[in-house]
Amino acid sequence: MLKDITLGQYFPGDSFIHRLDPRTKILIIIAYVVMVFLIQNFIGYLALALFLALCVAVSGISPKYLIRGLKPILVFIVFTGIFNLFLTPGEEIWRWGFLKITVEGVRFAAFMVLRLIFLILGTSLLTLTTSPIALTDGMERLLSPFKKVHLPSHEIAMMMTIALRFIPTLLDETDKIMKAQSARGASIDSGGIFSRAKAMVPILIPLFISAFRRADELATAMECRCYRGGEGRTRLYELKFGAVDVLGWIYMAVLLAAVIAINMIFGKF
Amino acid sequence: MIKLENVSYTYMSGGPFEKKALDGVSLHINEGEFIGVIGHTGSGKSTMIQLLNGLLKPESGKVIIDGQDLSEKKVNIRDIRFKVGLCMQYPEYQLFEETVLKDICFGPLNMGLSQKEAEERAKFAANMTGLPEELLDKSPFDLSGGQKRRAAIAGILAMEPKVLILDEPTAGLDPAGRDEILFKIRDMHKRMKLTVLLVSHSMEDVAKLADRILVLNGGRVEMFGRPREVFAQSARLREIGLNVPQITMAADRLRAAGVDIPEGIYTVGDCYRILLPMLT
Repeated sequence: MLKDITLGQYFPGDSFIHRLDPRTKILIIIAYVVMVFLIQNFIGYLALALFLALCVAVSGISPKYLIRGLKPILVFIVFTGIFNLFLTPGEEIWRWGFLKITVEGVRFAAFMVLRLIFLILGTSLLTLTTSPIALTDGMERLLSPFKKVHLPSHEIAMMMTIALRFIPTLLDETDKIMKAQSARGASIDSGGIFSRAKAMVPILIPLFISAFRRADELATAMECRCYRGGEGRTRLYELKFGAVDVLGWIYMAVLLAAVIAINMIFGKF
Repeated sequence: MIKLENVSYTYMSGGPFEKKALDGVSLHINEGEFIGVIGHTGSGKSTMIQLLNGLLKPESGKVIIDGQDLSEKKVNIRDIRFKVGLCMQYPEYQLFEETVLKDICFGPLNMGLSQKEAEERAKFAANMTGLPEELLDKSPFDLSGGQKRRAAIAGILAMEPKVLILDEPTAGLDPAGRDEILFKIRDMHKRMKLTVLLVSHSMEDVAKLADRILVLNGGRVEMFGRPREVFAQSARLREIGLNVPQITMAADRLRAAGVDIPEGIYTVGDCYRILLPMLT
């Protein structure tokens, strides 16, 4: 039932993308997200699509698998598209009662849908090729300069590690509880919105209880191993930038330049 | 009663983590039988039992319950679930209601029974599983581990299924709690003419209780026969990560040491009956 969610799942491998330092990947994804919103015409998105396609090809992740990750948010994408299509004011091209489609609406809807798709695909690729541990390690290192202004970067990273670590566990658990309740005749995916919300109670209560239980057990286990937080803590694997990272940066810089150039040359579509 | 015809099931089909859990399983279980299901971790036990009440759909092959093919559109899968009661591993985690009684009533109420009827069934089921009546008004979260387990099993039993499937109902319980639950299951099987499938890692338990034992290995049926027949193949059982009951091992050693003791001993009772005359 929940097996289609690819966000937060890691997919071990040894590709160019896998070998990039997590810090590089985080910076690249930030630049990527900025670009997704910066782009003002479809040629820009074409460039981004090419970039993404190349990354996927290099990473060795099956595109089918990546695209499957869009499924859970399909409804959201469709809604965004429809809302923007009908509710953007501007030059009318079609009208039926109070529903109208405008030129701006079409353009805006297409942009919003593309942006969402690109965001999900890009971030899925990041989490698919980077282990959660590496990801939060990178995050911690990137945030460590802010320690000077008392930002608890280690604690933030630790919280994120734990949260990411428990996504698959809790998904598994949800699946199990859903099955157990279905075996008792609970109908989870039928009926109106109210009865569906009511049907969630037998799933959510056990899920919350088990989440709290797990948190408690984890806290005990960490304390048993004398965990005390970030100060003076050494690590098993130190992050090091390598030649691949330089290549990654160059790659990104070229794309950024290309996107800005495309924006300037072709302007708003 | 239960018939599997060449059933296969694959997890994460098409994905990178594809895993074949069941591979061409065919079997037939008669009404009123007590079946012990054993197999190494990952042998497909849990997958098989989830196919039996329609929680999973077979990739190929047919699952036929009480003459109804589950893949047919006109079959109401919820009716099948009321007919085939499945109690998953660690069922106590599915408890959610304010009181034990309400929780046991969840299944019967889903069947469309009246509150009164559901409560009657719940009380009967609680009694069957050995849950004291004064606990019924307590919160399920205040019960002990063994009591929670019983409450969860009662929640399945209250639907009055024809088939009761239990996935390791005694995992993580202390010996006293374990024996009591197993004894209650046997009791229900006899008194209510239930068809029971008991998944277990304990060779002793299945040897003691089951009419027939189903051995799964790597998603296939390795053996399916009377305990006597299955436990006669101790070498093969060990090969696939299982074993014979300890008493069978002891008897085998005694035979090897020259004691005149027949083969096919798999319960302490059997051994006792044969050894006692020799010693007196």
